[in-house]
Amino acid sequence: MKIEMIHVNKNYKEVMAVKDVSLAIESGEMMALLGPSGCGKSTLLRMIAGLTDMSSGQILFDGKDVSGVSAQKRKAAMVFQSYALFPHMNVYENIAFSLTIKKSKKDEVCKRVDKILEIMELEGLGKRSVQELSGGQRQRVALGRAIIMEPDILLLDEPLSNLDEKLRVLMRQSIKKLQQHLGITSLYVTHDQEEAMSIADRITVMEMGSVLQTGTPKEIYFKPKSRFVAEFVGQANFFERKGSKALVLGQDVFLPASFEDGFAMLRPENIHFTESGVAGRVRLKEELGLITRYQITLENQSLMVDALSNQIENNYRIGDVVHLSFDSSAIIPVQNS
Amino acid sequence: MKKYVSPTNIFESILFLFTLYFCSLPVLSVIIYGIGGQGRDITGADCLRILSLLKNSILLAFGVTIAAVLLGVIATFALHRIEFKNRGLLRTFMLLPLVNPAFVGSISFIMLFGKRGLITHTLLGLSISPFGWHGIFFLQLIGSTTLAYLVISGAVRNSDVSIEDAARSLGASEKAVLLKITLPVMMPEISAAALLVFLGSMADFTTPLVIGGNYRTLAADLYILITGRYDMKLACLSGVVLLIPCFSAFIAQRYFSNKKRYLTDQTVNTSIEYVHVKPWVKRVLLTAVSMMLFLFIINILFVFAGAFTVSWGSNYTFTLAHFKTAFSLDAQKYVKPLINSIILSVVAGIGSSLIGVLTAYGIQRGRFRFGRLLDTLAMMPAAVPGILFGIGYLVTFKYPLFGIGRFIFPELPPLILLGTSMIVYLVCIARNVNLSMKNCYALLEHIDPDIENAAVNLGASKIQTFGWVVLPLLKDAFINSYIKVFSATMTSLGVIIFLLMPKNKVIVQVLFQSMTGGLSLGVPAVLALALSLVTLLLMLLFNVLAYGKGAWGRLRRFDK
Repeated sequence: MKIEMIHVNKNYKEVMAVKDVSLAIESGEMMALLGPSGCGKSTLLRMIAGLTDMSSGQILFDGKDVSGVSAQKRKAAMVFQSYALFPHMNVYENIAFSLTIKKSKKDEVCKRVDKILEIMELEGLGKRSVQELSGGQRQRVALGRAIIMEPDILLLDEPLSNLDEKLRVLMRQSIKKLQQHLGITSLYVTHDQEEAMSIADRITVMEMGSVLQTGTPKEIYFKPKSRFVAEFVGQANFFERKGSKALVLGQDVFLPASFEDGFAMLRPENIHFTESGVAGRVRLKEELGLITRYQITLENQSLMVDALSNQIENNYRIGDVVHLSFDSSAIIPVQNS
Repeated sequence: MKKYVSPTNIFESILFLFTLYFCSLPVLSVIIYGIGGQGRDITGADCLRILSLLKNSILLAFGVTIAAVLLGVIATFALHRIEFKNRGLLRTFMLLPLVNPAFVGSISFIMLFGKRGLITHTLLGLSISPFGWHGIFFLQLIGSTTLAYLVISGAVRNSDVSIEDAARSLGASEKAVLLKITLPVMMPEISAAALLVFLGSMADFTTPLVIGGNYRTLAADLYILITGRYDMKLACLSGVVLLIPCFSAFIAQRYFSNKKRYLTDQTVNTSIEYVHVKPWVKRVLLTAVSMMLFLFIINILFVFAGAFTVSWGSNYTFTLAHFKTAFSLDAQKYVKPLINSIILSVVAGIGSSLIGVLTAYGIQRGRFRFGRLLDTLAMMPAAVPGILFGIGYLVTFKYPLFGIGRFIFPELPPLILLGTSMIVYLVCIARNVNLSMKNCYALLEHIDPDIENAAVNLGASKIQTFGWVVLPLLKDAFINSYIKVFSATMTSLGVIIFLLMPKNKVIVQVLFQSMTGGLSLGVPAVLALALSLVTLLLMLLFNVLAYGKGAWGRLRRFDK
């Protein structure tokens, strides 16, 4: 099912939580809504679910306006950050909920819940109280409870933020597999750029209630349109524009006229250590495993440089003088948002 | 390793002795005395009489419980889950019945519906009696509704409404959300409220005596047996019979709520108001709650009116004569009891809050070796009607050495503790320890136990940790339960009625006697007014003393 949002606004008294958002999510697509906390991404999700009213605008499901349709009738299942499991019901009853209220036949409910328990790797836990489950198990119950109703749309509101790192990676892989297997149009809210990039077909970056950019993970990373997106997704060095060009490591770089109020942006992995080139001094060194991140001070600027850790020639110490160069093709002009 | 006795152990032993002695022993005494004590023989007619009174009590208590819980739930939904203007003010009005004992409602009830009542006689020209079961039901309902509302709304405020959203997004209709999610999750508090109301109604002897007419309940009969017929033996047997439904309900609710405790593991800050409310639902809820509040206000207003009217029903002229009677003619008669009440309530408030908060803290943080037992002992008075608890003191402390002397020095004269003002203070403290413990448990659930570890980790000694970290954290629990115990002691009579001597009469007692004594309504109205105003003003004063600015706001949320 295709979701379209047209000029959607939401204000709480004076505060604009969502500002003029227009966005389309294709049928079967997994889109991530990425942004810092309080940027309006959860509000947007709740408006699609019908749990929060819009102040103005339109939301269309497959071209049909759903503004007047209640949450119950939207078939947009939501997975909550707190999981929102029903505390007075056991695992089985939680998962069966959407079928029970439709008064489905007992044996059919049983069959479908068993199937879900199997998919979610929760076999044998059906009678367990939800309060006795681990974080990961609760997460799977919440997800199972949502997909059993065979929703048209799956809405996930920071579903993994209460789990530890390792479990998070595992769970996001299984969510991705499940979503592709079922082909449900999905919207995934997160503030974690790595999670967004790994799970989504496309990413929408939001800030202060507005959409800044929508694109594939690659586009968002390699062609950020604004300074905010560039900084939020990955690390970035910025060089100020002077006239029609910017001075990057001693070289003049031309910027298109459309980026009037902008910067030249260079990712840290695109700066290299060389024999000659601009000189600087190592200020800070972070060993991150695969790469080592250096902070290097130049005459009037401080830069971040990433180098592969396993190359001996990249091994500098704090205080060392180094020389830097860069790929001019990697320069990206960005707006100062 | 060397064994030593820590201050905690000593403190635990003292608490243990106190609760054993003053909370649970009197309860056991009533049972033992009622079943096996000396006295006259009990006949079959006595038993039949007791059973028919028990039936009256239980029917009434069931009726009041169902109605009060229903109204409490309605008020909770209307005042907490729907948004409208002046909601805060209405919530405050909802607490009005707390500053008066239930039987005071009979003043306005008689003024409106009595033989010469404003509505029944003056407006409708009828001459019907207000006395009977409907009068008791109505008056108990007013106070009980507020009680039920307080317990139920307390839970709703902290509830996690995202489970309702989850149910909606899974396709549940609003009706299904209400019946399958919202109400079931509220069940522990609803059952707690029902228990409180049920026990309160079973224990109330004042309202039936004031307005019950020929409808006699077991608790009211108990009072008559002791004060009118001096039949202690039958009174104790009635007491044991009264205990059975009360204890059963208490234990059933404890078992039920232990099985069903829903802890939300994160603090929920989202607003709990419904986003979509059908206009007719809103209208029905608001109408219902407005009617309740209207009654509460009428209840107080007519006490006001009665206090300033020469003789209600026949002469509606404005007068200050009742005030003169109450406050200038004979200070011993009315003013001294008011002062006695204040002193008693302050002492009881401080005593039970101190003991209750420290006990609850020790138990909740696992500091006491016999925490569970201590908790059970201290909670016992909560299951016992106040009047019975008082009788327990009467039969236990008739003997020297706090009652133990009965077995050691049978020939020593009685009335060692009984008859002193000491026993009145002790009974009020022991009675209310459980109240402040419950209060403290609720608060401690929100305090991270690691805070104390942090203090120890930063180098504080045990005593420093207690004084600098624990005590300040417990301040809120202390103040909160202090105010609750204070207002409860100011307005309740059951526990102390048989232990009071002429020299330490309290105002509720004088008020009760003036209402059963058939005086005009004027003086009781003045006394009731004085009682509620003094209670309210002192509650406000304590809040100001404890919190300075913002005290009014806290008072309005004092149920938290």
